[in-house]
Amino acid sequence: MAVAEMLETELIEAAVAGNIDSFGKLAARYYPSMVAIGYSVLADHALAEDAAQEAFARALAGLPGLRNKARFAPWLARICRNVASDMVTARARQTRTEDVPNSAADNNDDDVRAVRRALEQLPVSTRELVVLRYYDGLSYDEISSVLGISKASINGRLTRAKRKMAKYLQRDGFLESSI
Amino acid sequence: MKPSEHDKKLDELIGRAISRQRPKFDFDKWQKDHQKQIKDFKAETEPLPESVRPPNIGTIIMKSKITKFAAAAVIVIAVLAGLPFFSGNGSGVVLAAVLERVEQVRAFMYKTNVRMTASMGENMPVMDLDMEMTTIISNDFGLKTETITVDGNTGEKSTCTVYVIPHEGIAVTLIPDKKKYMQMEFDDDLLAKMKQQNNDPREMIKRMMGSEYTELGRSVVDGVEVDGFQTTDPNVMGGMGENVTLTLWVDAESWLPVRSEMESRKGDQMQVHCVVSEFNWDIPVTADDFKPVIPDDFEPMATGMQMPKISEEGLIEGLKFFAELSGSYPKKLSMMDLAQEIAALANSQGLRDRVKRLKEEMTEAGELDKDEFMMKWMQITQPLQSAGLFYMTLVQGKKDPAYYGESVGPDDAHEVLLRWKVSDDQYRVIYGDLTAEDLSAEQLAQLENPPSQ
Repeated sequence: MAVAEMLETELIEAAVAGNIDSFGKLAARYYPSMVAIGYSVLADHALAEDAAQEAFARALAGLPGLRNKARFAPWLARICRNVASDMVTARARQTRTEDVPNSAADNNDDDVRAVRRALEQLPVSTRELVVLRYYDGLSYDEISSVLGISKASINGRLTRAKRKMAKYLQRDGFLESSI
Repeated sequence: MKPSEHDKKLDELIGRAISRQRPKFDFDKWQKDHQKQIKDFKAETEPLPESVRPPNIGTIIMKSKITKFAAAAVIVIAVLAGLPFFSGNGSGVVLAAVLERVEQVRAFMYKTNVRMTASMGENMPVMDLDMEMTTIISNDFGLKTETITVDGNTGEKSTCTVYVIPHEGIAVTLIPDKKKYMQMEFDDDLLAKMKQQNNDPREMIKRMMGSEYTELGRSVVDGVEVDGFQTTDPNVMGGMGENVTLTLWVDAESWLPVRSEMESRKGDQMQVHCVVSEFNWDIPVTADDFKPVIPDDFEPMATGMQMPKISEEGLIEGLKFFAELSGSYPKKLSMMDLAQEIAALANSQGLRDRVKRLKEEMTEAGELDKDEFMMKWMQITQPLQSAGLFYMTLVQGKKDPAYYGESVGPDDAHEVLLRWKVSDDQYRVIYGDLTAEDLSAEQLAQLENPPSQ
């Protein structure tokens, strides 16, 4: 077992036993992934952060009963996905016009909107994978840990997703076709 | 544009659209915003002194007299009547003749003595029960079973009578000690199966015929000359025990069963010894013998209870229910393993929340009664019984079931969670996301053993 995995296992054991600081460390570790998952559903950075934080609150309530500790991260991801879906149901989905990614501030807004539309064409689970990969550059190892799927599967699904997005963007004239 | 440039451009576009500086988690602020949740969490996980520790739900269930009645009712109905639907496909010529002889009998009576000890898990009391059941079966009118249960831990004795009335689709349980009665309904599917096959030793013979069995030769039992048959095939009990021995003694002259004994053990966790004897064949019965007479001072309890659904639908409901409470699927689906997992689950936050909600609802409706509460609680967990019973029928029916609950969870949407054979070349497959489809044996093999990359 790798050192990182061992530390993670110890943190989860301690958190399940009631150590709130260990839970805090786990929450900090998975916060970016959870925000990305929230973003893939809500398309709003601020709401995505709200979803991640609410997911931690729900996870805390369920933690003493968590049986399969090896799947802590996928379990957390599922809670976050549910929280985000609940938020969509509760509020009319609104993409705030001011909610433009920091890095996109000086870029062409049409490009950004086209990519978002292309993203919308993907199935929810695939969209989530793309967002996890590009939101803050999560590695395959990190994505594998959060989604509980193999790196080979991540690679295959990402390749197919990008191919679909490329077709959509080419059709709208935002991307030249490859040779 | 070259493919590599094209990919780079696409990466840039996606990155520009959604990338963001890695968000930082402010745990201190989060703690301030979620003080109640943290307080509840600490209260939940902090070990309490024995004197103030809240009662373990599992313990309450095990100690509840009423639950034992209900459990007895379910055991009697499900195991004797509903479960062994699958007739064996063995070629036991002699046993086939015994079965044919038994099926000519319109009504008969027998006694069943069951001694069962079972440990449901750590910190749970060991169940120690002695049950004596007297059963009358009529092809025309139904089934009646009187059960006397003695709790080996307390010496407490309790009685109940179960009536199964197939043409009305109901089972009625009378509990004289409590002056209560309970009515359970069967769904149409289960009712149809019950009408086709009315329980009893006939099913035991069929199960033995479908197993590898040996002939024990001639002997004398209860003063009668008999021929013996024995099987140790674990499937005969639907995978309930790992070491099963079922022995059947048949009258050498009439070819009717005289006595059967079943010994089943699952490690140190469960031991069951069951003797069926004192058969009376072709007894005179009337419809009135199978009509429950409910005294005026008996009160109904837990009305509207239904039998577990022994179907794919019931299985999926059970798996979904378990996943909602624990975040994963049961590791195993055999009844004994499942019983232990349910007992462990009894202290989960999810189930505690449900119990709390149920108590609140019943208090508001002015009907919070301990017995009623326990029955409703049992009804809540009923989907899990459905899952276990359905799996048991797959094992007993030799449907080649394989269950992967130890490695497949709700997030493994496309991985095989359970599969079983539906025809020579077709399998039914339930995936991690609980969707289902039929696959050929070849397609299934590819899924279960993907080629290495």
